[in-house]
Amino acid sequence: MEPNWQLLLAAGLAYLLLLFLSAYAAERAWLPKSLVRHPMVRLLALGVYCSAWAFYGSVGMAAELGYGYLAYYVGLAIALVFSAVILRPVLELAKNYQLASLADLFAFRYRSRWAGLLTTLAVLLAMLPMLALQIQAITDSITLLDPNTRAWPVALLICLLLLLFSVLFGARDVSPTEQHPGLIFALAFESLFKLIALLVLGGVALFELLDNWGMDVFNLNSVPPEFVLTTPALQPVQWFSLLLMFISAPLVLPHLFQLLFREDADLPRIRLASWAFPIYLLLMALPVLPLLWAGQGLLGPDNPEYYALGLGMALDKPWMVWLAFLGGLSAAAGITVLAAIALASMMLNHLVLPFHKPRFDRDVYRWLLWVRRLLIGVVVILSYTLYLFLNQVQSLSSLGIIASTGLLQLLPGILGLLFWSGANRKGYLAGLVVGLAVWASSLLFPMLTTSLDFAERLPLHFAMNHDQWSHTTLLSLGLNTLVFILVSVFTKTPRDEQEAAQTCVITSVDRRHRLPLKALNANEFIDALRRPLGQIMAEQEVKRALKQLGSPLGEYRPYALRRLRDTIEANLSGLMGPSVAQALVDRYLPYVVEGENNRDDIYFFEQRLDGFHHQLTGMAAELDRLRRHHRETLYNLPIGVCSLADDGEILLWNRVMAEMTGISEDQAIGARLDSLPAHWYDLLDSFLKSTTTKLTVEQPDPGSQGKRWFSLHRNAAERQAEGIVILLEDETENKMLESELVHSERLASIGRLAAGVAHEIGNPITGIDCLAQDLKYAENREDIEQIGQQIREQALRVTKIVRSLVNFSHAGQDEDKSEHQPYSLQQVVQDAIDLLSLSRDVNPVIFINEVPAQLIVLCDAQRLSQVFINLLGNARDASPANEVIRVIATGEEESVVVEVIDRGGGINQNDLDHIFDPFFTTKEVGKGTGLGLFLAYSIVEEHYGHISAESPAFATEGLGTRFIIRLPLHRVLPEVTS
Amino acid sequence: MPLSLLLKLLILPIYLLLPFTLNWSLGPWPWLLPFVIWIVLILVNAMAEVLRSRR
Repeated sequence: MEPNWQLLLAAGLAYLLLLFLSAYAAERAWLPKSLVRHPMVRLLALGVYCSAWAFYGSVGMAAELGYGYLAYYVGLAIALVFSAVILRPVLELAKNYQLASLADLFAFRYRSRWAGLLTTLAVLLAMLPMLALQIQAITDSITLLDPNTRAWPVALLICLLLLLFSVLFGARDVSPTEQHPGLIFALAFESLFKLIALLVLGGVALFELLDNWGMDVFNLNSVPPEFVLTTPALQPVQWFSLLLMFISAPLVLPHLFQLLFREDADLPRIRLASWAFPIYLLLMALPVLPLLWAGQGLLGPDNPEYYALGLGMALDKPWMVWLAFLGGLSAAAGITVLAAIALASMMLNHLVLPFHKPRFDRDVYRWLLWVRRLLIGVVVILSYTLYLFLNQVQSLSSLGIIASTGLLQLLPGILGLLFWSGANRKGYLAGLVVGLAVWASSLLFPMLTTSLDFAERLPLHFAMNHDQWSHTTLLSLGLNTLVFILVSVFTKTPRDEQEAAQTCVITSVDRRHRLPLKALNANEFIDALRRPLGQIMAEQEVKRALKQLGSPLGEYRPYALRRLRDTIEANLSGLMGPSVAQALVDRYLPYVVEGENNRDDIYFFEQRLDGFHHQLTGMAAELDRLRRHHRETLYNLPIGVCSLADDGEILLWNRVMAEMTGISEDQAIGARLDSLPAHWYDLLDSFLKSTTTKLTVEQPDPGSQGKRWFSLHRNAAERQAEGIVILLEDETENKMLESELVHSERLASIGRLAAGVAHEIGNPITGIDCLAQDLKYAENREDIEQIGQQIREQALRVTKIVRSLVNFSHAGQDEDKSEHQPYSLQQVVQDAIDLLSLSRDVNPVIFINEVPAQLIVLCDAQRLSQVFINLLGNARDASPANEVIRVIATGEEESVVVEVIDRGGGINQNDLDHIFDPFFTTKEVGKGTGLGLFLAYSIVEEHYGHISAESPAFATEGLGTRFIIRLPLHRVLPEVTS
Repeated sequence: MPLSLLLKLLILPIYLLLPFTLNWSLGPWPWLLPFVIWIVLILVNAMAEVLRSRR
């Protein structure tokens, strides 16, 4: 039965309906998810690359160029072999920054909406012949089978159906990471169908060659000479021109870009495709030569591109005709749908949005969706219009090569994007314009003019010289590259482009600067974005980004806010393109730039390195291992380590720091110091502002009602490369031990005083006893009153001694120590002198208290008097009998200097450095604990003071010791808040 | 240089010269020769990818 165009059209529509149904079934989950999501489905979907040009045009190319047709398949295979170098960096950029197309990539890298715009126009201009080719293939096949066909209405109907398919399955919603599982499944189906169709057709052709011509299928010499003579030798320049076109295919073809880098793309899929998809390409290439030879033998030299179709008619096998027709339709339909979707997205981001913004009082997402649908229609209509204009004059291969040469002009820009940080937008735009100009003048315009001049189908030759297309390819690419390099080298690259180059170029490191944002929390982000995006969209985008980062709505840490900004920009890039997204975010979420900022975001850098460390090799891997080792060491130090940038941002917060403060690493790193809980902020801030490099303070213990002691240290250098490092050590245990020691020393002091106290109390008691006896003999009232008064005086003396002892022994015992109180320094010294005077001593000495009464210190009086008890006690032990021991104090502006000076034997120079060490004593065994001066030192430190010793005090005489204590005066002592 | 990358670089020249391999025809398989060589190149690439994934 001779197929007529109505039957063919019906069959075609039925097949397209089948594709619809398969896509719909996948979308509605009627098919098992394991099937829809199977890696083989994704792999087969890549078969959309083999369009009608592969199904029909390859045979034509084989007729013209011999084995040159293999370039179509081998080019893509080579690109996949080196996917790690070529495709993987693009995948990472596309995923991290939500770049949906090549135009997005260029706009992002070259920081220019003009780069995006020109790229979009170039791709659209170059793809139109490719899409017209698909429509022509369908109508050619119908026309060949039924010469009565009216091609243009048939083509229009097919286009409308494909438009409907594209809109239904390719533009259903708008999101930065939208997926089209139904569409992918349909593409996989059509790829499998056309592969099977071509293999069957090739198999039949091979069988025919074997059977009818007795050809040894493996031996070229057995092929009849008329076959071989019509296959010209392949010129190397033709081969390498074609290879160049098709090696760049995965990057420059918008439908392949969509599949490889957008549709749920990940690294394992690309890795699978890199070795498995060439098998598909090989199988598609294999039947071409048998089809060519069988066609030459049965059909003659005309229309080699449609040998697949004509073979069935020649052999009188209608099923072959239907198979070839549907296979060709399948091949044409897939690319048309996907390319239209990809081009529409590109046009939306770079031709529409930069010049016409949606009204944000309406549903922006709906607006974006409908504009995209409209643009899909525009692409299909433009393709149809070009098809009509070309009037089926051009061969499929001509159209394919014209399109591929146009797309090839993007290759220098891509290579610059990935491998050359010196490339800039001026160079890219200049090179692209020059390349496109050569291409248009040599190939595109002649194509259009010959379509007007000629009424019959032209062969592959484009001009008088049949090699012109390969020379045009190399010339346009060469000039493009040359201009690109020269302009980039001799023009200045703006700073924003340099930063983008650091992100994109695979040999560069993405160095972000640590800049504060104007918005201080996530709510302020929403407020800032409300104006350009509207309330609903602003909230939705901020919440989407927060969810992706796992951050709460109340996020405040500067580091996290910077990541939030980046994520919002990436998501908006997926919706509106990088140019619009970047402009919007730069304007409404600006950084606060103060002067020249070279502060690197170290934490961001570390996070990136952690993500890539398994990819490092050689020296880089070793250095990274060393970095991780040092970081682990810092993190696990048994002391708290905190690193602060000079703007107060926390860069490092190790495990012990987190345990001691109760603030986790996640909460601290990237936050500012002033966002820490109040008592920790006050402590760290006051320490940073002071000039001291060591501080011991008391802080409330979050786990109990008590308090803990911490000592803080920092380096003495004024400025480090990356701010300040603070060490935090828990001194609670030491302080408790010290407190016990002080108490023990106090009791020991009391013990030493015991004999003297007993004697001192005994004297007034004896006196009272004598007076009581005298009272018995008192005769008059006057005598009684006098004796009574004397008894009272003695009793008061005893009371005073006992009270002093009790106060002294009780001080320091309580856990709830009293806070430091203002106390007269003179009284503190006098209390110590009074207590020492109680003890009987072999060497009575004279204590002179020359401390002015007006000097007030903030202190724990009992603990401070312990200091003077120890110093005066030692001075007495060292002094000869009846010698004077002076205590002198001099008030300065903010502190007081107290000197305890004796005229004793002095301290040996060798011992002077050790006298404050615990358990160090020069006294005989049993005479001293060795803790007195150690405790004195600790107590003075507690009071924010300093103690030192000089010996000899009187240099000319070579005797005496001077202890110098510096204490802050009451009015300037800083408060330690708790 | 990793072995996987070395293997890929080794097969690259053969890919580039694939259509000209007909001139190497030894024996009865001339027109199929480029395809046979291509299958070998696919297998070598697959092996390189396995090595890379293990690394």
